[in-house]
Amino acid sequence: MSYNGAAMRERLLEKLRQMANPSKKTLRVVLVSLAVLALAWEQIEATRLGYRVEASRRTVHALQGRIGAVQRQLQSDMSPAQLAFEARTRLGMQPAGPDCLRLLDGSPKPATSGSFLGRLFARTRRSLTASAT
Amino acid sequence: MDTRFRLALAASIALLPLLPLAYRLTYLQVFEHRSLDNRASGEFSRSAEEIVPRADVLDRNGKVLAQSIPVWTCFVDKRMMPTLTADAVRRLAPILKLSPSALTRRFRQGGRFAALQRDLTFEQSQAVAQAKIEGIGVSPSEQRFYPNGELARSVLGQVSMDGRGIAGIELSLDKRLTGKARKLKVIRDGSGRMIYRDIEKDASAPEPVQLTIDRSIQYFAEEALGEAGKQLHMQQGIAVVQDPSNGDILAMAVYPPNPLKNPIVQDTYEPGSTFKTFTAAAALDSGDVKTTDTFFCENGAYQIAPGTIIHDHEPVGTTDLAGILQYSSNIGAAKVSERLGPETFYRYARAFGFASKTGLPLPGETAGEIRPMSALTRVVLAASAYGYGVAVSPLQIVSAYSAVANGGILYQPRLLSDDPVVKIRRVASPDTIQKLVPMLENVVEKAATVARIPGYRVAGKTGTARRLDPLTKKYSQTSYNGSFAGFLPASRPRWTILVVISAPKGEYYGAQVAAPVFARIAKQLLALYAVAPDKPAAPLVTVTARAARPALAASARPIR
Repeated sequence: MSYNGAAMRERLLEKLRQMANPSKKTLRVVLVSLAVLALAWEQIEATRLGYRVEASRRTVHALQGRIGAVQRQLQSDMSPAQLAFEARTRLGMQPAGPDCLRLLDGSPKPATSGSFLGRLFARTRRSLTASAT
Repeated sequence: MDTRFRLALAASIALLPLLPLAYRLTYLQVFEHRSLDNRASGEFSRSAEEIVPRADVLDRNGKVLAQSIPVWTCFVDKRMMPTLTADAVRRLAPILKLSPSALTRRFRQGGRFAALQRDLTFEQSQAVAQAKIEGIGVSPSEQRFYPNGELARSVLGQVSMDGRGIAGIELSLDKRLTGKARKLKVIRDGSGRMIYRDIEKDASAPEPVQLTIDRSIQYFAEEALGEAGKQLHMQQGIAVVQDPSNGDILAMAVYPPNPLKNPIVQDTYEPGSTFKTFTAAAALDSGDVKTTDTFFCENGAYQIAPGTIIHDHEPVGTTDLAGILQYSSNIGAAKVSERLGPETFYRYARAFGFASKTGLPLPGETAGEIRPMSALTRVVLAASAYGYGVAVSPLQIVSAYSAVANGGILYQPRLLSDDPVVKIRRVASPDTIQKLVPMLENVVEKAATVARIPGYRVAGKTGTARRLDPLTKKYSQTSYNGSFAGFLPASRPRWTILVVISAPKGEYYGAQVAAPVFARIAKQLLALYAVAPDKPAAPLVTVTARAARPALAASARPIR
């Protein structure tokens, strides 16, 4: 059996050419394999995300429970009966009656117009007058 | 036999055992596919429901009156834990805050699943889960929570264990308050953990319901009633506060608090003398009586028909309409009604909203009753004129007083903030109201002086009526309803208040038992809203009256 190096090289090159230009059948197999892989990946990913969604749902519910407990405490503390009790016992406050109202005469007057110094002077003069009386 | 045939035969013989397998596979995959698929889905797939909390109920300022909070229930699956072990008791009892005996008792209740403890907090539920006791689990649920305790519970009502409304707003607005739960498609893995798959049905969270109730005013009313309850040991007390400018119900207080019943809308009572205001309004508005007209009040006893005598609680001689209201003369009111006649009286009573439901969104509202025109004989008409023989709800009385307060327009009482303000009708002319209001102010100034508030003009009318004994169907000799209805500040009314004290022990006159509660609520309202005084210095109305005899020991007996 004679060794034909040129022929061997030629066959090898042919094989490489075939690999570089795959047939339609090969392409189909590769595509189907990829599709199967994608589907499998999708399933795995869906399951992984499903676990995460469930965990998140549980966390949300747990946090809602905590918020509920805090809200419950807050609303109870802010209820009129509780506020009245705290005001009475802690601060010694009494419910106000209409006789506690102090109504001011007339409408509020605008600040003295003019420059900053003018307004400051007017304010100082008012306070001095008040302390003198 | 050639080789090919022999090979084929050998292959057929080799494959023959696979035939039954192929048949079975085909049978299972094709014919039994649906039922097996369902079974498999049942094993692994689940439809989980995500709880949507019941909507909050808010007051007119957005303060929470009722809300739902997530809680957990600890349960046991007796198929997994047929007997409660000592170890489980030792570990669970402190978490669930139950004694070992109570825990064992609860374990024995129910069928396969038994609830060991409800309304667990988040921390408790976590502790149970971390204990990892086989057969013990926690499931989420929700609890209806009323942060203000018993405040406004007669309005709010109650929900059942399964979260459905059974009374009050919780019942009447149950559909609106309940959301639609989100349904999730999940599967379970080998260890029983859930894996989210899809949303089967999305949730619809309900919107909060805002009432016209003011939490602060409600508190004032309940506090005042509670104080009165301690002093008077009454069977029942109610207080209603309404905004006369639009019919908004600001407070509905009931003593003792009862979430399952609201007597303000569900019960009727005979209003007694508080009804005289409407007799007077009808008399003035129809033109049958003028402010200057006088009536002889028979010095305290008037035989209206053979065997039927009307009594006043104090003898009154001749007086005008203002005097009839001031002295609360039954005889005077009867004589006014005689001048009105049954037709006019009935027409005005209906116009003021009596014997008609107000349409408030609370369950079991009563329409009350006024005798039909054909039944208004002389005696019945006279009794109706001073508030006997008519059955009205406290809500009707307060709404009718609001119509007097706002210048003569009857508004539909409003409890939901998003409901429109509805003017029902004009019940009296502004001129009539202008004449009537000073008369009611005069009542407060001269008779029900407890209801006076220094610096403010207060208009109102007292009422004292014997209660019907449900057993004998006769008027009780010892049990009374004392009431006071009024509004303030009379110059520009902002609040109409009705107080009814039922069966108090000791004092029972409306001026003695109900007027102080009215004044207490009114004072707090004036202070809370910093209302400027409106009282003039000059006298408001002059009453023409001649007292006949010194006061007799008379009672408030209506008719004999």
